[in-house]
Amino acid sequence: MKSVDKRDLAAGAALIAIGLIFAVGSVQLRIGTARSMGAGFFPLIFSVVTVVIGLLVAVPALSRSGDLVVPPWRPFLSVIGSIALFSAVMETFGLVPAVAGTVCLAALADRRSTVLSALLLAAGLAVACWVLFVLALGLPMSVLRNPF
Amino acid sequence: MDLLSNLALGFDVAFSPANLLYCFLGVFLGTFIGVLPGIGALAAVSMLLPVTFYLEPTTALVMLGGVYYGAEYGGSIASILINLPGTPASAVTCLDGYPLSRAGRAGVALFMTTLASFVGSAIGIFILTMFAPLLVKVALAFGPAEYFAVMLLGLVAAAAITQGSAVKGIGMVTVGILIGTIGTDINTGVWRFTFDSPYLIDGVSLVALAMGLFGITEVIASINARTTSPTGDITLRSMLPRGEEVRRSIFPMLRGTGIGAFFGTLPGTGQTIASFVSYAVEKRVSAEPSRFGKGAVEGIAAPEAANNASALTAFVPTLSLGIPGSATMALMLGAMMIHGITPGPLVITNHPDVFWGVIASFWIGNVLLVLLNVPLIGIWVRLLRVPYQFLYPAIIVLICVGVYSVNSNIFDVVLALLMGVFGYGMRLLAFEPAPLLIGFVLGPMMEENLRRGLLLARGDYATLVLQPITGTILLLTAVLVVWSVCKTLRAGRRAVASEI
Repeated sequence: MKSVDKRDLAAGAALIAIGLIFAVGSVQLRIGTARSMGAGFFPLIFSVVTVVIGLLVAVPALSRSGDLVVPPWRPFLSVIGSIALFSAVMETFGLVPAVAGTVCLAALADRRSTVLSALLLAAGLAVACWVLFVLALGLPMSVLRNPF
Repeated sequence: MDLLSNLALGFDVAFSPANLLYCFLGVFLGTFIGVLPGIGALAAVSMLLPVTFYLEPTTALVMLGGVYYGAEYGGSIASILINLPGTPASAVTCLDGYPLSRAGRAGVALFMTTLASFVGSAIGIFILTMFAPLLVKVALAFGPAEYFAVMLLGLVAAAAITQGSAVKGIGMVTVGILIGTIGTDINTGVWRFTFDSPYLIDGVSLVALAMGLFGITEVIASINARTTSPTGDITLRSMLPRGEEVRRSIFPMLRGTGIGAFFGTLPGTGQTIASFVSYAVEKRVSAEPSRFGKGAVEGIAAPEAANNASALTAFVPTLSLGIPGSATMALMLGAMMIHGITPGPLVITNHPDVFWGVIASFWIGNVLLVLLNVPLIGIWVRLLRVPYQFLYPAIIVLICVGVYSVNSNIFDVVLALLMGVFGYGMRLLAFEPAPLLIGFVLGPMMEENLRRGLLLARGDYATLVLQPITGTILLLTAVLVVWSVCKTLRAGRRAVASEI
């Protein structure tokens, strides 16, 4: 089998996909004409351009070789997870539990973290956020909330 | 003298206690965040953007300006001491800064960085002071068609003049434009791509987008990155360079400033390209090019001067035309709009205190930067010794709380998260995120001006294009497109692009 540049092939495919999604959305709006544009005209033009660029990236990639970079899953998942946890906890339980949970989950990303260091950091940052954002800056957010 | 009285007004505003305090805070926090490995000026500005919402518009811009050039400087410290550039623009500083540091001469490298940055900044601010009001006079004659043409030029420049592939750069710009169309269409009031979600009616939040693309993505990428600790302490005595080294750096600094000012003023291109080009130029004109990469002081002086000169001249199109000169400038424009100032040539007449106050604060901020960083260098060295596993959770928390605090809306945090996942994926596919942000900010402005221009020209493209200013700018844009396509084709034939 001939080798291809998998990275650029994927890059081109991503652009084509984004362009197609916006193109489908655009044609549901009023397109109008070039002289009197509707809401969908401008996005439609640029979704088509995006698809064309996607092709320009993907087609040359077919004739050379290259590898896909494998992401480091551990930091990726734990950082993403920690932010997702923040958005889930913040409004129901308040700032302090949200920050503490976020830090604990984020600490998993680094192999050098220990349970003790993570817990200490979580406690410290939770207090720091409360002092900085609520006491000092006076931002309107609940510190600790009982959802029940 | 008109200019002198304007500057006097500016310094009057900038020397008010609140502005002075926030200028200091901005420079300090900016340097602090810039020193952290892997976190650049863009992330620093987007992280501190929500904090400035509670300030007066001028104070907010003064502080963000301080954060911006503070972070640029902080990035250079990390480059020199631990070979981990905080910003892409300071990656060049690693080339000669880290070898100097290994040779025990980190102090000299830091001093030369400070000196070159200051020279570049000072000349950059001078150009900004002289040139921005002139450009405003030209810009007042601009109609929607001219604006559209300049924005198109800016977008193409942002895409074409990048380090990586120009085609991918253009792809990122168009994706940014598409993301910018999400929300209510200003001409018709129709909701576009909102999935009928009330949270998307006002469009994608700039803070969420910037934090996701730059903050979250950079944190993920820098965890478990190879880290080294700076060795040895830096004393004031060790920072003094030899007289011969200073002499050798004068012309590289001036050449770097010139190159930086050129790329900075051009809308759409940023510091990264300026510092890379100036390093390449110095290597070419040097009598002993072999010294480069082994600790040549000129290899630090030129790109640092270029970096800072372009950082400040990037404010020329931003403040006078309302067109961002770089991705960071796009954020600054966003900050202006959030504070109710419509960017454009009218800022200088409607808000002279803002315009001149911000420019005057750059002088103060850059002097502060020098005064601060010579005595504080010990603190930054110690900060670099803190293991990264204690720093990144704090950065993540700051991002989350920062995004949330803008609208007290958890949807923005989710949006930032999605943008972070998207940005990280694009990074793995070797896309650069900066053109996307420029497209995101310029896209809606471009659409508005194009449609307004068409309305004025009664839908006739010929009258729209065949005007002297519009035509010239569009021609320039076309030349740039042809040049970048040729460049890509040539690079493709050479097959292996040589990386610096």
